[in-house]
Amino acid sequence: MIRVIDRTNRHKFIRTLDQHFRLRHEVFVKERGWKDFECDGVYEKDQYDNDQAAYLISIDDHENVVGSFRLYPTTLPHMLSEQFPMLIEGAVPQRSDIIELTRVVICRSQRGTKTYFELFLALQEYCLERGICGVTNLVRTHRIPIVQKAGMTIIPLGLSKEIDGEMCTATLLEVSDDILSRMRRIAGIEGTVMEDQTRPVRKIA
Amino acid sequence: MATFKGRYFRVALDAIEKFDRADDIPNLSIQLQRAIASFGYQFLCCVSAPGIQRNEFDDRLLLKVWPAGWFEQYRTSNFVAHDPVAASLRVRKEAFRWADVAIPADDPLAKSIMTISLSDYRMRHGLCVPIRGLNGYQAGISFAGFEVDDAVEANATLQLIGIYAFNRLANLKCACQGKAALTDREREVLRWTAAGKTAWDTGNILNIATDTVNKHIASAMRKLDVHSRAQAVAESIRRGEISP
Repeated sequence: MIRVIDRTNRHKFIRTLDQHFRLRHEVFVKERGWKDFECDGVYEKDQYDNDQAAYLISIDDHENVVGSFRLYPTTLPHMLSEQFPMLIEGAVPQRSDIIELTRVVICRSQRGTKTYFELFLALQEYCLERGICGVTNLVRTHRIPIVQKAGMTIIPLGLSKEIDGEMCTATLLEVSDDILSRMRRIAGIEGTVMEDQTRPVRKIA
Repeated sequence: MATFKGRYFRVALDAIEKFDRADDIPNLSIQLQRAIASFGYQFLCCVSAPGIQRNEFDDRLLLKVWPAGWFEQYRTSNFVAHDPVAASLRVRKEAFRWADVAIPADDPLAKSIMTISLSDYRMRHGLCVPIRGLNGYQAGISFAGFEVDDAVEANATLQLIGIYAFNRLANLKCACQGKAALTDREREVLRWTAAGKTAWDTGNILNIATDTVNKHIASAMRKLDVHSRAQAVAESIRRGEISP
């Protein structure tokens, strides 16, 4: 199940958000060796973790965070426009109907499982609901076939270049009803993966 | 700020668009050959990872534009077991040049393979694109030629070309398999299998050899893309090929 957290509801999900920053530390700092964004030796955060960000977080049955990603408006200065414009050939897409996807993370035990599909199904659902038609994303080039195999349509915005020892490509993920249905078929998941936030919360998560 | 798309990137986008328009595998193969030819590569092959049904090298070849003699030699001499390029494809994530493959000193055949491909078949340069799925190595693509554009941008373009050609190939193969209907005999054999009959029983009922029954079942399994008889029964019911 995917929980959406943004500035309108973050006060209700302090524990979830905290766990998510810890998971990012576990993966990006400890596993992949990023040092620049380490916080207190416990969290991983950067300048885009602010009021403008939305987080889609995968929660297991015991309210534990098992995966997540971050979305950020491209109309504001964002990671691709500020840090990696050289990966894009042409202008950096900056439109109200295009958002940026960053910090995709899945805890070690859930890799290669349904969590991956749920997160990206949630991305389509989230965007379709808000009239967003495209998602820019810096992806490790060797992951593009995985994204395609899950049924997504991914368009390169430039050639891949090396960043911190890994080949990366700036890409645009398309959003559409057709893509959502195709992904659901491939994942074998019917209906929404989103948490119903209209229901009263049992306890402060 | 750059507002124009560089030559290499335009080649990549153009190729990707043509792959998407290719409506069958032979057409895709032609588009792929054209795309790599602009970098000086004449040969290509795409091999899937060994699977339960597809273990033989021949069965794993998804696309092949190779010098005829080379293919025969490669297959009959079991080069795949010694080819250092094939070994690298299985373990590496990023695209790589043949020139950057370490040749194991303890396998003389490994070195011969590289020498023969150059001296007898004019494959002096090669570039490989590994395709990895959620669970690791899925397929590998190798391009080869004599005089090639070896610029970093050229290789980055070829990587995208390889990835997108493979994606189209996988989709086209999927569409083909969806269409491959079972023969009457395959359906008949599966119906008896569903009823709990062994291949021997079924052979007796239909008055055909047990071997023939097994061949029909194996063929149906390939068409249904499943790995066991039970799955074949379940899948053929799901597709409406036989009734439950």
